[in-house]
Amino acid sequence: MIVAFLSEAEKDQLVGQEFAPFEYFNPVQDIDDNWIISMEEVNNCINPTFMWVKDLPEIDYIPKPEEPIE
Amino acid sequence: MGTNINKNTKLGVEGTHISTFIGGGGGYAPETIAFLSQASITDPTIGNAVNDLVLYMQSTGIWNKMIAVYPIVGSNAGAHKTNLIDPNTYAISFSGGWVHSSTGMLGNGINTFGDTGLNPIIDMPGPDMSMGVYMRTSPTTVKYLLLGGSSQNVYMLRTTTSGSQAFMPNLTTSTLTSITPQTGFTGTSKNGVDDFFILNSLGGVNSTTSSSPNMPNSSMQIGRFGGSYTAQEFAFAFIGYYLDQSEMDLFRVIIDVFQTDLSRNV
Repeated sequence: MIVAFLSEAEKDQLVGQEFAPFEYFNPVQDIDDNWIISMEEVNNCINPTFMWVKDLPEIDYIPKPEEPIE
Repeated sequence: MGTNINKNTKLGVEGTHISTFIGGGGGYAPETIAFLSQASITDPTIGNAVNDLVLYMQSTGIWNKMIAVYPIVGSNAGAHKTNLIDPNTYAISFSGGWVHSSTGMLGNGINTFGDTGLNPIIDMPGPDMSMGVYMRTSPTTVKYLLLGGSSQNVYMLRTTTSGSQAFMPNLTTSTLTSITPQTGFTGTSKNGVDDFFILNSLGGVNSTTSSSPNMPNSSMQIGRFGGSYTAQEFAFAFIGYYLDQSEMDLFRVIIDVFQTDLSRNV
């Protein structure tokens, strides 16, 4: 699965910000602690302030191990 | 329990739309109008389906037991966030890359969740609670939260590859696993006195005796637990006060009818 790679500073800019009406960026870390956002956030971003996400480098996504619920 | 019942015989109504039957003139209920307005929906197929949903819920008394009902119609986040019970409260805030479409909202398994802003401890004090979802796809791996707070040791509805589960901590039988299929309706309810159960899409019930309160004390979220995010598609979600098993089964039928009216039933 392909995702968009963020620097720490770029992540800080996106946290809590809208990429489209009623939809918010949610940067998460992959197994190597890289900050990433999904391609849905990139492709659906219409917020003029954050159009730079469309130029982010793309990487393969490998998730962290699942958290046990119990 | 568990019988698939035609909507017209089950609910004692003849005709395609209960709105036409009850209203005589086919007009929408005020609650339907408020929802459609808030969600900016003009599609008459959706309008009729929502109106039937409202009237069925009201005629069965389920409406008054709900705090938040998300029909997830309208194909965009602005519509999918809208609470049918009161369109001005508990709008879902969407995080991550959901895919919103006419069939519902699909998580990406990477970073998607919805925050309802509804904290049961604050917003519906007392031990009574019910919640449920209508899922169009099955889980692919491990455990995911379908509905619950952000803390582990509270009442929640979740799914695994072996079955949907209602979880209640501090009980000998803390996990009730529904029988398959996992797609379609799954609901759970507890009354804080003697009843705790989960009911699946075929009306099958697993239940136990519980007086445990364990109400979530954080905003109810859809589709994630901690760092785990589901890749399933949601087509309905609700949070409310206790429903007994008969009421929950009736709500299952009502929601099945709603999904069928929208041609997105599974």
